[in-house]
Amino acid sequence: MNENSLKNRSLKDNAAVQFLARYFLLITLIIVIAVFTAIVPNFLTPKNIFTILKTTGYVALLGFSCMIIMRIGEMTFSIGAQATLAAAICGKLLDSVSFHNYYLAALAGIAGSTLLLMLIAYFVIVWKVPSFIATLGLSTIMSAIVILLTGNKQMLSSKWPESFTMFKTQTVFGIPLMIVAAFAILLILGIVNARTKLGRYLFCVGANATATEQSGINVRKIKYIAFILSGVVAGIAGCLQASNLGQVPHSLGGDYLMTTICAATLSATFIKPGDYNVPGVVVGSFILIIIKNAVSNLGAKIYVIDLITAVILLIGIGIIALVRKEGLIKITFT
Amino acid sequence: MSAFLGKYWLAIVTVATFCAFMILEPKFLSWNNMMAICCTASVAAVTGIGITFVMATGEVDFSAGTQCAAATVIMGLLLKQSWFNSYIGAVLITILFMMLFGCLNAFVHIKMGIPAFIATFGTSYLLQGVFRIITGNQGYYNLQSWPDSFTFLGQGYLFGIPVLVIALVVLSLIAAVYTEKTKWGKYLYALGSNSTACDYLGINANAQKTRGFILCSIFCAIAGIMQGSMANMASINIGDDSMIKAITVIMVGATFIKNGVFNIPGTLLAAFLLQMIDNGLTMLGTGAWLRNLVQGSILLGSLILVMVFKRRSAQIISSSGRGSTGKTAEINVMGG
Repeated sequence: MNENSLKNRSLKDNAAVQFLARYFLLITLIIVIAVFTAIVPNFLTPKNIFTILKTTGYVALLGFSCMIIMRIGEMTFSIGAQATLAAAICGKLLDSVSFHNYYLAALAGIAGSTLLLMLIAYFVIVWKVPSFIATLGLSTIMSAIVILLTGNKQMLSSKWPESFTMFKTQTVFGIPLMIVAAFAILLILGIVNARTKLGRYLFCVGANATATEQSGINVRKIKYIAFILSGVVAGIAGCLQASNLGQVPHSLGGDYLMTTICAATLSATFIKPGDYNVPGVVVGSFILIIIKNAVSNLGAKIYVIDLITAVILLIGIGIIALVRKEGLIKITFT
Repeated sequence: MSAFLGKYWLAIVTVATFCAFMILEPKFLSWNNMMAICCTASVAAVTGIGITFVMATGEVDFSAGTQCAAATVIMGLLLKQSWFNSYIGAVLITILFMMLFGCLNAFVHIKMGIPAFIATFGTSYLLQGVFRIITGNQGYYNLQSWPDSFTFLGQGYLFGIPVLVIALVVLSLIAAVYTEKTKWGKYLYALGSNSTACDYLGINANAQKTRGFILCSIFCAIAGIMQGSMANMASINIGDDSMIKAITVIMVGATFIKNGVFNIPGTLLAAFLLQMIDNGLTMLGTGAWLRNLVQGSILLGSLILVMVFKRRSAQIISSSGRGSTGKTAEINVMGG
């Protein structure tokens, strides 16, 4: 696979526009940080920075699992439900009398939500069922299971072992374990996504599945791998966040669904326009979470975020759509 | 026999579900309950018909639910003012505003070149944000300043039949005639099933898409007006729910008669079936989780059925040597 032929797309020739398109996200991030540092009191305190980074790590993990599906040309709306389900299974298991191993419970939660996703993945990949609508259905089913498990309220149990809140309480060199864990996982995923054969295959499948199949790559296998990665990472994110919050609210993932999709979409505007990438997801979720944090710190109404998110999304994607002839990776559905 | 089942399975399921609820819950069959089901179903059905216009062209309008919610708010806000008391005027302004929003969708998608899925995702956020700021993120319920005509559409009766049901019948007749009998309706479907062929035939794809978006907005505006009138309220926060309901309705509807094609009779039947299940389960006193589970399963089940039917018909066509590939219409969401 010739890497250059993939990268070297015909951008319109203006260097400044090209630069703007590539670093739009980073420029926005710097502006956002500068503005909020100036106008929000106590914005750059360590405590607030840790709060922002924790949520960013969580949203970026969710964003990755959304992005990897978009990268192979499918779409998913069940990320939030997957995260909640994994956390709910984990919490429910630990709530039972005889089960005290946090790691095993988290593993079971992640495995459970991933298995449900794989059921849908089978129909999406083999039967060509539109993933966009199939995952909408899946998220409804998953939220039914979550309601059943949590009794439609915040799940909190005194039987939970102390290790359940380990990501909230423990620190590494003064940095909360949640941040370290989330960004370590993101680093590994970023390397897999950008530097390995698998990562390139994922891109190829999304860019042109037929050509990829013709060059002897098993497209179905790559798609299955993408779905497994997505399910596992979403599950991990859910368990991390539940541990960080010390409870399992039934809106754990659903609250962040739109932010997640937005971050995943924005990632295609960063560094490598047109290709979804992990640094883009991280920067994208960073921006969105900073805005969320600052807006609520300012005491402004939380729904101002809707407007800002929409504007950033439309401008970001608009720039890419204008400077790139090919547009973004195609997602097929229906 | 198999072909018959394939075509009419939705009707059979509806009748079976109907009978099951009838036996389990005697009150289910009362005229009032039937009409209540039809009324609630009509909102999802009209939204579904609206989205059908866009989906037929091979694109998707993700902002449909938010448009419905915004329509309720426009109606509520306009009629709240003391200087404004024309109900018809408010309806017209709402529809006009939504048409403009449809134009915005079309502009962002076609002129800016942003994939429809993301474009409408963004514009729905924009719409939601603006209306949340205008209303202060609160809903209005049963305001004194609203005229009586506000609830006529949603709660009134004409000759013993709810006005909502009459409105649904009229709207679906218009939509059915438009999509099945006119050139313009055919163009929408033609574009969705084979955009290259349309290009060769000289059909302007962008014009068709623009029309689809605007038609969708009109129907969503009407659905919103119906919903606000029925519930006697105006709120921007009902959007997400209407969206998933409407999508479920048209996907299930696409399994009826014309397999794999969004069609009006299927949409109506699906809306009735889903609302009937919802209503019946509530009457039986089951938990919210079961309703979620049933809704999700029906969506997935019908989706899989559509694909199975499509694949089978493709095999039949190709084995009888008619040369069709039987390929399903692919919606190009991102770029292209």
